[in-house]
Amino acid sequence: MAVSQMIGASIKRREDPRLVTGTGSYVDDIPQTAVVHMHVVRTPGSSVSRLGEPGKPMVCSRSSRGRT
Amino acid sequence: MRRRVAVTINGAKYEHEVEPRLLLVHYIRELAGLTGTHVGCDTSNCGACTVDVNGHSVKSCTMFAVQADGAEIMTIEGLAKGTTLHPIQQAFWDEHGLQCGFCTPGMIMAAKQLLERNPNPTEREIRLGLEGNLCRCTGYHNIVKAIQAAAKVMAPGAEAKTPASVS
Repeated sequence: MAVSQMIGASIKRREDPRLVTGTGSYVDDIPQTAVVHMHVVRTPGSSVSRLGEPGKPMVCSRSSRGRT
Repeated sequence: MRRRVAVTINGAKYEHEVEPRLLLVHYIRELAGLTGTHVGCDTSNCGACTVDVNGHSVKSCTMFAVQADGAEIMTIEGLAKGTTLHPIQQAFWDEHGLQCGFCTPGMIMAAKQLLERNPNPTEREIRLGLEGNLCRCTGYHNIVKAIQAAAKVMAPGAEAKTPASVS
């Protein structure tokens, strides 16, 4: 296709057939078995150093709230 | 106490012992393994979980699996005939009626029910008919266009099941 024909042209989306037939795959569709689970722990302070040991209450240099 | 539930989904029979509190959408997704039906909000607002139960459009997070015992259910996976898309599915593709596609199965199942009740709806009737389905990508304009296009293809006397355009 010449470039002049591509500008403004409607492109047929290749992913749509699976999305309109229910065969897409979203995060919620991943089976719960045989997958690795992950937790994200966020610090309550914006710029702190984490002190102490994993599994124990977290001590931060600028904020003492929060636990690992 | 678990209860036995037997349903037919897209023509296939399923039978399981389930907790009475199990929602139909979780039955469909987790026990029947049909993940085309999505859980968007879990509060019956968004309509992503819409399926057909005994010919009625139902938000399947609103219904317990035990209430569907004996029912004939159709989900988005049951709509296409082999590789031939249902006219509503084809129209959503042709008219760019979706972006991320998460709400699409619910939109299409709701549209199917809408066109069964009213084969030639006005734009306003389509918008009213879909007010129980939320889309966060498209702004609804192309969804309405898709349903109008599907209504034309599905109208009695229209060229039988000819896709509007195939590239």
